[in-house]
Amino acid sequence: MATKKPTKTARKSKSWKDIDQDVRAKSMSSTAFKRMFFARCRKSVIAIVAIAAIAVGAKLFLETEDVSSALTQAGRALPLKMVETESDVLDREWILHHLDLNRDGLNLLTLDLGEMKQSLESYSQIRSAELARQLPDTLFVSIQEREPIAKIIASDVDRARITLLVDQEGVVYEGIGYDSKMVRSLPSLDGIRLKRKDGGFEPISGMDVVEVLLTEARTLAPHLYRSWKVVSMEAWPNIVVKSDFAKEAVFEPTPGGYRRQLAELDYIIDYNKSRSVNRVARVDLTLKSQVPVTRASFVQ
Amino acid sequence: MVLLGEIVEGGSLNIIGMGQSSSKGVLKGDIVDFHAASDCAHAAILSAEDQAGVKIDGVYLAVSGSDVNGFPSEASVNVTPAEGRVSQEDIDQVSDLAKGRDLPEERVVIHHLRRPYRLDSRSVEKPLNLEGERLEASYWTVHGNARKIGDAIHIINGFNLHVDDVILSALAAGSVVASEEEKQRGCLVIDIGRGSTDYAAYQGGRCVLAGSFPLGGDHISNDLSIGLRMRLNQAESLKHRYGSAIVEHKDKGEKVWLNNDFEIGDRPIRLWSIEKIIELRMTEIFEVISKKLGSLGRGERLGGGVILCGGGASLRNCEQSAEGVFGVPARVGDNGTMATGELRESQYSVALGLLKYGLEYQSKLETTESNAPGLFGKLKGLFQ
Repeated sequence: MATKKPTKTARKSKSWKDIDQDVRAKSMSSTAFKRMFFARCRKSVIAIVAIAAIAVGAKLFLETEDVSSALTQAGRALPLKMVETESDVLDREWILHHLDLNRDGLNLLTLDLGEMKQSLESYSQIRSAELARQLPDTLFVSIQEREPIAKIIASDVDRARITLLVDQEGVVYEGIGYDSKMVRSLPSLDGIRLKRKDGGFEPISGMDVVEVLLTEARTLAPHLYRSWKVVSMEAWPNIVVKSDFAKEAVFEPTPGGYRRQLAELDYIIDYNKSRSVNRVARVDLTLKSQVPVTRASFVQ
Repeated sequence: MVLLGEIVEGGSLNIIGMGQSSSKGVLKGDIVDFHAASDCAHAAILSAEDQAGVKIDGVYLAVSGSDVNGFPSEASVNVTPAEGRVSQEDIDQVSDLAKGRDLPEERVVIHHLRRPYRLDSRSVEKPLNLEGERLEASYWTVHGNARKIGDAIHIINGFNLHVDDVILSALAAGSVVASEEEKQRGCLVIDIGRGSTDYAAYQGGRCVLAGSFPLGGDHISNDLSIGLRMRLNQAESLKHRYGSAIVEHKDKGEKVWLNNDFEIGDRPIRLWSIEKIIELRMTEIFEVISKKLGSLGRGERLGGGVILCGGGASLRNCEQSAEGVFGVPARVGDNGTMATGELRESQYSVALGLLKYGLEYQSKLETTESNAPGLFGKLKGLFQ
C-alpha cells in the first residue's frame, strides 16, 4: 500500500472525457453529414423566420402611431363628393334629404353608416337599407322598399283624410313617391282597427292570407280583381270583397288557396250577366257544394 | 445494437426505439475497419430513430474488448490531528491520491470503482466525522487504450452525436441483471460477447472489480471449425443447433449431421466432440475470470452467485459450466425488472443497463441543474 504525506494536490489520470469529440465534416459519414446539414438548415430557417417576425412586429409596433395619424389625415382628405342611390319608389332627393347629405364638407370616412342605416330603416316604407363607402369619395345607398297590396283610408289627428298603405306583412305606412294611379287601383282594406305605436301603427295580422287572395285574383282573374273596391276583414277569418259585380263576395281560407272560389265567382258573374243581372247583393263562397247568391232586388 | 429511451414524467423510462445492425469492422471487441464499423453503427442509430420518430440527443457508449483492463489503486492519509475526526477534506485528499496513479500515455481511465474506506484497518462505508487516525481509500481503476476508445467515440461523433458517458459492458449489464440483494451478498456478472468477455464483481452492494479479456463466442466457433474441420459459418450453425457448455451426451457414437440438408458435402459429426470442444473453451473462459478475480472469486465471497448475460449466455448448460468452476449457483440474467417481451433476453442486458445508467445520470443532473428544464429529456443507449 502506498502511504503518502497529505498534499494539497494530486496528479489526475487522463480520462476518456479528455478525448476530443469535435466532429469534422470529413470524418462524418454521408448520412450523418446530410443529417447535420438539414438540422442546421432547419435551425437557420427557424432563426431567420423568428428574426423576421420580431422585426416585422417591432416595425408594426413602432409605426402604429404613424399609421393611425396617417389614416386620420387621409380621412380628412377624403371629402364626400358623390352619393349613389338604388331604390324602387323613393327618389334620390328624398334619400339625401332624409340622411341630411345635402350639405358641403362631409367626410366620407367620418360618416356613421350604422346610424344612417338605422335612420332609414326606421321609416316603415323601407324594408332594409345598405350603405357602403366607395373610396375615394362616393357613398353608396341601396334601399329595398315594401310593396303595398292594399290601402287604408283613415283620418289623422286633424281629422284630415289620409291614405295609408299596407304590405303583405301587415305593415302600415304612409307611402311616399307612389304613382297615384297605382294607389287608386289598390283595394281598400276595411273591417280592421288601427292601433298607433311609436309614431306609426301596429302591423295588421292576417295580411299574409289576404295577400294570397289578392295575388291569385290578380293573376287568375284580373278582370274580377280590377273591379274589387274593398277587402273587408270584418268577418275574419272569412274575407269579404266588395266589387262592381257583387256587393259582397265572401271568401273562406282553404289550404289549396282561393282558386276554386274565384272560379265559382267568375261563373256566377258570367251567368248573371247572361241574364242581364249586372250586380248581385251577396255571393257566399264558403259553402263547398252550394253557392247562395242574393240578388240586389231582394235586399231591403 | 441501439436502444432508445425517453424519460417520462415521474422519472421513469420508456424504451421507444431499437435498432440493430450486423457487426462489421470489429474483431475481438476492437475496431479494425473504421468505415465498416461506422456504417453498421449509423445504420442501427438511424433504424432506432426512425422507429421512435425522434432524434437522438446524446449517447451512452458501452466498451469492452481485449484492451480494457483494471488495477487496484490505494492510498492512505493521516486524519487531521487537531480534530481527530475524519473531515471532508481528508476524504477528498485520500480519494484524489488513490485515483492519481500514473497511467501510460496511451491509456485513459474509464471508471474509478470505489471500494469501502478503511479507518484504522476497519471497513467503513462513510467515514465522515468518525474518530480515527489513519484513513485508507481503495479504487479499482478500469482503463483502456485511448486510441481504441477514441475510435469508438469518433464513430458516434461521425453521426454528429456526442458521447455523454462511456461504461464497461459488464457494469451496464450488472446494473440490470443483478438484484440489490445479490450485489450486497457478493456476486459476479459475466457478459459473454462475440469477441470478448466482460466481468464485474460486486461486494457489499458496489462493484469492486471489473475487466474484460478477448475470449468470446467467436472463439468457440473457431475451435469447432478447426477441431472438426469445417467452415466457420458451419461451425457457428452447429454451435447454435447442438452446442452445450458441458458434455451431455456421453455416447461417443451419437452423431448429428453437419448441414442437415442431405446435400453433397453433408457429413455426420460426433455430438460428443462438439460438446467437448465447447465445454473446454467455456471452462477456460470461466477459469480466466476466476484467476483474474483472485480471492474475490472464491465461493464464500460470491454468496449471490454468478449471473451470465450476453449472447454467449444463451448457450445450453452455460450455468452448469460456471457452477463447476466457481462452485456457486449460476443463472442466466433476466431483464424482467426493466423490460418485457424480447428485451428480457440476456443479450439486451448491456443496452438496458446503459439506459439505466443514463436515467440515474439524468436524475443527478436534474437535481443539481434544476434550472435547465427539458434539456435532458431523453437519453439513449448504444453498445457495440
